[in-house]
Amino acid sequence: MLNTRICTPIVSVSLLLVGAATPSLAHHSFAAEFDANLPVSFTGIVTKVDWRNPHIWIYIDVTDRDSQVTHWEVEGGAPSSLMRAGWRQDSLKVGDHVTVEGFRAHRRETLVSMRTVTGSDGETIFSGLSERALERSNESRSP
Amino acid sequence: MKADPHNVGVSIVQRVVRFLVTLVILLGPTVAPSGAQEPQLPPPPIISPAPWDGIPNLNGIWNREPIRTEEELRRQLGGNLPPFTAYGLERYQNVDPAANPTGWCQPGGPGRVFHSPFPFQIVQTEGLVTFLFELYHDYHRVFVDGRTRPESLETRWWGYSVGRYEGNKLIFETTGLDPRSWLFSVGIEHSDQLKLTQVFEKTGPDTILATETFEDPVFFTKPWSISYEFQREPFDLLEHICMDNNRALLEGLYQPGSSRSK
Repeated sequence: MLNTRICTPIVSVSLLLVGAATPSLAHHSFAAEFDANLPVSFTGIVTKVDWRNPHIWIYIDVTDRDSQVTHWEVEGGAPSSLMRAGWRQDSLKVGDHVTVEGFRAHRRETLVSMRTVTGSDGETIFSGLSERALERSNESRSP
Repeated sequence: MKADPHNVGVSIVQRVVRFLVTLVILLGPTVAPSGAQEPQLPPPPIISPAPWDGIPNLNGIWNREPIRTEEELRRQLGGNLPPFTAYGLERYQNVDPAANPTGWCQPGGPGRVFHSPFPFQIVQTEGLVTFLFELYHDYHRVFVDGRTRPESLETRWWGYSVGRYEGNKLIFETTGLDPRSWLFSVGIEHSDQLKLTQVFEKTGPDTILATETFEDPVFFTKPWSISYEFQREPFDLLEHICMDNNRALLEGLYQPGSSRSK
């Protein structure tokens, strides 16, 4: 669980050259929507959690040093897969300060497939989640 | 040998006792106090007895490690791809991820659904085996009442399945499969001549060994098979709906044309 805390969101948007955990490249639906060559990482504040099928969506505002706000849209796994992996509807709350790692969509620069979400205390939201389960959660679009 | 559902060879009393024993076993853990901090997922339904003696009891909720990538499929095939015909290989190499049927909320079908990361339930009744899939809240039926596939049946996403019990095995064949469906999420296509034979062998109280054989002279030079194991899932099925908040479809987020050969 994340502790909601007020903090100064520091922009930390960066395109990583090499992703530590790339998705399954042969995964067709992932390839249809996202680009495995465009890993992305950013830190911001959760503004909305849409816990709905077939995939959850998390909305995050990132404010840069010039006070410009970017609205990121983050697609996660299926609710059922996430629940089996230990996540719950209220695991992430509006106002939480998080860092997201994922992969950018082909068609929208601020739309991301989520790989990991980490709280401001360094605790990964997917704490206790095996890499395998994490992968299953995120790949569940294309069974 | 075809099982006779009316020659059950077991008394009503025996059935009731067996049912009550199953009930006690399953309800025991759910009424025990739990020290877990996290909310628990709903328990699975009671494991009903098989509808008659002499057949494997496959009732319950099952799951397995999914096959989602070519690497995972090759691992099943000694490092190889399926024995494609030239046409089949050309189709495979040029398949478009954006055309993935399940990505468009179309059904998985029996050649693919068991390789998804979502669990399913088997319900055995007299003359029928019903699969309830968490994936897209879908279902499939296998007739085990001695019938054959009706003539002149239209192709279907789920085809038409007839089967039988042999010892500890449920054996069923599916034909009439709509060629729009895929086998596995890696995008193996097939023709309307596909015959899919699936054998579910009960190997223990909580395990089923599944063997699948694919025959299609248009796409494959010879029949090919894979084997894998289902394990009993300790939780109930959860809800999975394709078209609720499917932004990828609603907003056209797929990028067509990123085929394997490009």
